[in-house]
Amino acid sequence: MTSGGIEAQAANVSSAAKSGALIELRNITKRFPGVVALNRVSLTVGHREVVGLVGQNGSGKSTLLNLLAGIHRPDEGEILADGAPVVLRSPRQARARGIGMVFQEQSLIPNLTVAENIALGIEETRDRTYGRYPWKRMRALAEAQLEKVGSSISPRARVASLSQVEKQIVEIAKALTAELFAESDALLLFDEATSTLSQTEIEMLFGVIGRLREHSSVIFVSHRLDEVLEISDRAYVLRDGECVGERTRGSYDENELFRLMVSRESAADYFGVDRQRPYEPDSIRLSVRGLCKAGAYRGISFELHRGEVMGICGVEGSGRDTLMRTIFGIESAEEGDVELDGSQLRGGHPEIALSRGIGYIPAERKEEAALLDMGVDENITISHLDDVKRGPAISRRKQREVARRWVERLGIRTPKLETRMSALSGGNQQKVVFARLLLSPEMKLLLLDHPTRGLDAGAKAEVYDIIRDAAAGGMSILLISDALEETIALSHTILVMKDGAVTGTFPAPPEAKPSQIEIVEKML
Amino acid sequence: MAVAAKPSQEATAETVVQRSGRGVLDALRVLRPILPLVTLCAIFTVINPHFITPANLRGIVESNVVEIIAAVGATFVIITGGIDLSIEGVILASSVAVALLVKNSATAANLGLFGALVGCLLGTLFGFANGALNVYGRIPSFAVTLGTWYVGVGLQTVLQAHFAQNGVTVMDATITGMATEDKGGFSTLTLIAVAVVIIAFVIERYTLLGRRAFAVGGDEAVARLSGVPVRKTKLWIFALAGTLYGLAGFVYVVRFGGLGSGVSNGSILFGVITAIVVGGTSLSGGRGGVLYSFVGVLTLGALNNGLVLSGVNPFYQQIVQGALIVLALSVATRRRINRLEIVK
Repeated sequence: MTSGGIEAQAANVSSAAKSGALIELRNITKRFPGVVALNRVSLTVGHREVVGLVGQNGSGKSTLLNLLAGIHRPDEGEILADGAPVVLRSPRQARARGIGMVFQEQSLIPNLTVAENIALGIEETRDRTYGRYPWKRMRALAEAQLEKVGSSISPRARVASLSQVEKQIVEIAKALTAELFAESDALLLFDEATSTLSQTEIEMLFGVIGRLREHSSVIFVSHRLDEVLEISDRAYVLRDGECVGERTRGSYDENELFRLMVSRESAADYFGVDRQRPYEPDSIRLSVRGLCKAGAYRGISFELHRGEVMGICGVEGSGRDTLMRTIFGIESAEEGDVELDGSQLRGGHPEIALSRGIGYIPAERKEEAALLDMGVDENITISHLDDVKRGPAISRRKQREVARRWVERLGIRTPKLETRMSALSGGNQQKVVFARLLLSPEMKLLLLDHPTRGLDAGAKAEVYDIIRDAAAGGMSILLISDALEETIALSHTILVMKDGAVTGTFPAPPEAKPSQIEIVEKML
Repeated sequence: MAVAAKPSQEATAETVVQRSGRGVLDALRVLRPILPLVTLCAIFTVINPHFITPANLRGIVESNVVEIIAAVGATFVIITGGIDLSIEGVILASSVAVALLVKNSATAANLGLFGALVGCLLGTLFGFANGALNVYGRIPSFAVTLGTWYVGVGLQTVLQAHFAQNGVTVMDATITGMATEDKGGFSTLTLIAVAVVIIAFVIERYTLLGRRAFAVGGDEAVARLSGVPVRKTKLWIFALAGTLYGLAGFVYVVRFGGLGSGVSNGSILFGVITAIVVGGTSLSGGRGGVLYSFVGVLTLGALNNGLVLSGVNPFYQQIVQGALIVLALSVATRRRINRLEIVK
């Protein structure tokens, strides 16, 4: 750690005009009831330096950022700004020190204008307005902030009408208002800012961070290692609340960082490619012929076999999401047909799809799949209450038996069977959703829409295991994911879509996986 | 080259169309709340041309002055994401206080317009109580204002039982004149109601309090993290709403020339909340505005009036009213919804 500190300082001296750290955390400990979220963590951020922070969910990354943003306060240790100890009691105070945070869950108010969102909470800090809302000044301020990130979004636009990436840019412009208060350089904290962006949007975001570096420092948090490696000058690895490594740009070894982060051997092992079992090429499960929907996709034909995992790759707007939703019946196709096990599937009716053995895991887990206020046991059995009845009433005992079996089978970590879903981590919630579908003996086809979105590396690996096991057991799976490496590793076959049409089909057996470049070429 | 450029051109054109399409939709969205009103007016005019006469239209506004002022107050609370059920209780408490303090048939008091001020201030007091209990007592606004509704009604009952068991008549000519006096075709009460709407719109659009109310209702956690004084905002919004209910209480007394021995039955409350929702203010907060609510009150007013003029049997009027409100709301709030989104 000591040598790391010296290394870091050396890097600062060479990379920035000013010497010394902009912000330094010394032996910070933070406890929450039952857990030590951070255990004697030390970290420095130099002037105009981009510092990456990697770790799984629960490793303490978010807690660390929250301490800097003034949302939590450390139990032990101190925070130094330009060498002097500071106390950050509220986001306001943090902002007054030049620290701004770009939140994981976007923190804009949809029905207000861009200007109001950027200026939220600082309307009166420069001049008293005597109750008046200073529209003109706020619009000018918003414009100036947006200019810093090279954006020409109108301050008058309502946030609700912006695209995801535009919102992210407004969010950054808002966090950047911290610069207006900073005596020294500002520090921007990015908490998993990329988790809901597509690849091109991430590139844009990185462009913005590149510009920020000219006048601010950045802490960039992500559980996607490749992103952190791309953008950071220096990176810290957190595991279980402790700092387990620090590397400067150039001395990165992705596999080594990965090992530090998850304590598993390598990426190929991580995806469990060697565990991929061949599918049954003679047994067609799903047959899609000439499927068309105006404005979404056209002429889609493919066959999915028993035990086959098929990944559908494509950028946002390629039609892949609508296609998947059509097969489940949430959307309807205008032409073409879908056959399941040789008999026609009537479109437009999710309940029919379900009764025929098609399960769907939507991307918005919290909104569309998990009943957050109900227990784990109820969540698991909710689709099959008929199986846990005794007479006309639901038998709690049967319900718990079924739930216990699946909690053990999928390794769902929950304090109790009846613990509310909302108390579980994202990974465990996702496993519960899987259990709900898998427990049905009639389940034949799973449609997975970003099944690992928002999960940490460990939880992802567990979801991969579930997918592999299901496929090995004869389940057919259609998969959509933004992480290309994940899709390639998991799939037997890869279907690439672009502008609503299939532009390529790649077999992906364990010994001959197509490369990311081959696939991206067909996507763009 | 031309071939290669084609797809991107197509894509841009598509984006532009989507964008402008969205702009038109946005404009329609703003106009949507007045759609039911315009439709109703058209239908009723066809049935009975008397409906569209200036005298009748003035009458519709005139008979809804209390509701207009109360709806403006409640709209602010609803914008912050809260709900205010105390509307009727505060109006009644204020109205009885005003009736007993101006020159009247039951007491010797004669405070004149100062009585109106006392009514407003009583409302302010109720509003602060609502706000303080909600914000500092951490009691949901629904529960707090349900309680203060009954306290207000109770206060009216006690005061009336004490001073004016058989009702009270206002005898101050200046004050009773406000309901009848003709100022360019409108009564003073109508002008007061319109002034309230205008001032409230200015507050909503051009003051920190108004904009913060939207921020708090839009996302309270975000507002707090951004340094918006959330609790102060809510407190003042409740106080503002209470003051307006107080004023509505005064207007109520003036309109009826006094008070009977009536008891609250919730008709003002539900009328006002319905009007706000019909107008287009979202009960989940952060969306809507006082102009919408103004239109909402007028829509319900036109509906009542039009049904009478259309000769609908009074026994059936409530059924028709209820059905039309549901219809108006389903039209007003119709939007393209995600099929998995559930409407509660």
